[in-house]
Amino acid sequence: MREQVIREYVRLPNARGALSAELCYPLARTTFACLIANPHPHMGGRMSNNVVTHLAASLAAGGAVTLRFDYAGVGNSDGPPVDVAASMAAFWKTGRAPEDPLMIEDAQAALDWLRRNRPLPLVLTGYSFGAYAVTQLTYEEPDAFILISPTIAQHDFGAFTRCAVPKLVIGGEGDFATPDGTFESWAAALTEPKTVRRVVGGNHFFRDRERDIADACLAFIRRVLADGVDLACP
Amino acid sequence: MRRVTPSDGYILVTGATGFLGHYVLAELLGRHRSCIALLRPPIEHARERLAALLHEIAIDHDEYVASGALTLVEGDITGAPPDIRDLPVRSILHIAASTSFAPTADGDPARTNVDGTENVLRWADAWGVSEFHLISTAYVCGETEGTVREAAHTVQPRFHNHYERSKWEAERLCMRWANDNGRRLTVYRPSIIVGDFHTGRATRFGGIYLSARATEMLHRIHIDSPDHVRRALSVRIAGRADGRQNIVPVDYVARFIGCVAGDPAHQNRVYHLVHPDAPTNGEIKEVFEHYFKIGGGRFVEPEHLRDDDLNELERQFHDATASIRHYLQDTPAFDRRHAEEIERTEAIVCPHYAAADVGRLIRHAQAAGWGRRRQQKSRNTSECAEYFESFLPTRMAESHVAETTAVTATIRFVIEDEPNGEWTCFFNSGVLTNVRRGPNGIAEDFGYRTNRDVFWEATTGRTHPQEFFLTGKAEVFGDVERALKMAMILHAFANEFPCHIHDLEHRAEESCANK
Repeated sequence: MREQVIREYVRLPNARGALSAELCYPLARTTFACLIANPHPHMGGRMSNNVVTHLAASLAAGGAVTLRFDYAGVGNSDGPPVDVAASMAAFWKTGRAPEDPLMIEDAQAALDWLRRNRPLPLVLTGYSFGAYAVTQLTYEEPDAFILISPTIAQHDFGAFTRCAVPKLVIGGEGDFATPDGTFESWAAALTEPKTVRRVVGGNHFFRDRERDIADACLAFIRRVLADGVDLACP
Repeated sequence: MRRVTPSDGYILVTGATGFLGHYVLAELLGRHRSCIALLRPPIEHARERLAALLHEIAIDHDEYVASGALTLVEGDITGAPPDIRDLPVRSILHIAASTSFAPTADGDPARTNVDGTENVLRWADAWGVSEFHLISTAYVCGETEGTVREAAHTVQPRFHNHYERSKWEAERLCMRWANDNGRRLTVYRPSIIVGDFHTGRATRFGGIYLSARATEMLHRIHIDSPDHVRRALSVRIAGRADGRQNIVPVDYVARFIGCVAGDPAHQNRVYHLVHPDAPTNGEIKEVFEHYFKIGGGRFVEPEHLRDDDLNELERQFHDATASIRHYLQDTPAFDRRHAEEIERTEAIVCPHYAAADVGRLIRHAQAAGWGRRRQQKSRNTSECAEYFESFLPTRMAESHVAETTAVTATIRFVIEDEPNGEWTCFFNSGVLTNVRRGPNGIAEDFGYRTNRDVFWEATTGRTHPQEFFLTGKAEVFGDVERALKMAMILHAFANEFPCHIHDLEHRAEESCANK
């Protein structure tokens, strides 16, 4: 039986005001912290995303304090509303928007807040564009990375391939952001220790597969934290 | 059936697929008049609609076409003259009209009623037609006191709405045209046209139907309330109980027009096709309340009812009937001596309305879903069609979002529970260059598949598109990445130009009636 969790809405200060965020943690002792970055706002990314919300609650039930947030201008976060029209021309062609660096700053602000307020072993988790965002954060070294549907066709994950931190990468079968063949070869090139998961029928949205994703993430984290290194192989 | 020869001369009928139009056409065909029906392009869709409408009143469209009594030509009253080849047009019966009370984005009602009429008069000149019949409205009299004459209103009155003004201007144009020697102009001014007297059948549900629908709304709100509560609702209505709702049945109006249009001796006059003994507002209210098993509505002088003093029920009722409110308050008396002459000589009777007759109108309207069912069945007049083929091209041209994003893509939309509900939109550098309906061989870059409910939720801009995809309410196909990006653009567009289904209901119906 999963543990009951507490949800706490928080405001995270950043350079453009404050970000709207939710902290989720168990009634019992927390053993690790997990930052979860969501997809790109230009693709509808919000902290209310199905994968993000499910993951936040499931990991919290497994002993984590999780933090998810909305980028500036999204939901109740301060900042001008995301102007899809203004930056969609570039995003349409490249999958990258001029605001991308600002969103990474937002993720950095969230991470800084989490480190200050919950100094625990840290797992950086990102979904879609959020996967790219968490690999760009400045931090000495997290205890683990979890990248779900990383946007490898749109963003440069070159530095991450050399990262020696334990990592779980999850790709959905038929995912436009991580085309099947590209994902396999990219994952194969990642530095160990690594765990690679393919979710059959997951495409990019993982509708009705959220539980599978969360279970895989929790199992991975437990192994990493228990052993100091992830020994699981795909 | 008698074979009609071209030498009889044809009556060109505009607006034949409209509510009044198809009744008039049936009447003319029944009187062995040879008719040319002007149908809005694409003619295949209009033909299908006309055939269905005529079939509903037991007229076999195919038979009349085969016999040569009915010829269909494609054209738009605001466009170039239709290709009538060598068919001799004897007269023009101009029924097509927009009944929008307020100005629309595409310029109606003036565009159709004034510009369209002027254009059709030019066709008459070009074809040498000297007989013209205009379907106007009794309410070209505007705000008036005393009895309204069955003659030209040479002095422009104050109007209640843009519709009245446009019809008055159309009359003026026609009367100017008729000043030339040898031209005959007949103007028919019906009051509020309602369903067939014997069956209640109608295809348009404005006017008095809005009051009925508002009463039905009160009924729904209190559907679970005890009877004593339902019968004592506190709803004040701005208007006069002894004022009259001048309703006339469509079959009466059609019969009258069919008779006059076929006999030059009756022409060159103005006719008030109004009821000589129309039911009062109070009588109609009683019928509506009885039908919907509620009570408590009462008329009050308009000046005693302030907008900021309405209770919730009153507010909802008044919102639903706002466009016709003045017809409850201002009920002119009409001279109808010209009409009575025809009624006497041709044995035409404008029937008296008893409570059961009004009830029949409501029963049919309810059965027809207040017009929604027909629109859903129709291939070319649904709200979805209006959205893709009219609203979207118009608004996209004005859209900041479209201009800024400058997208080039071919996008297919599939509305699964919409008949023939498939549209392909071609965007080139942010410009919507073309919209094509129906399945076709065009290769789309990507597309969306959903149902009507979700589609109309999306067009309001209230719900984030991601919600639709994540909950399975909508599916994307083709290039998913671009589809998701485009969904965001369309969402931004929907926020810029939100569109509710009821915004287009009226226009969808007008489209079938007018064009």
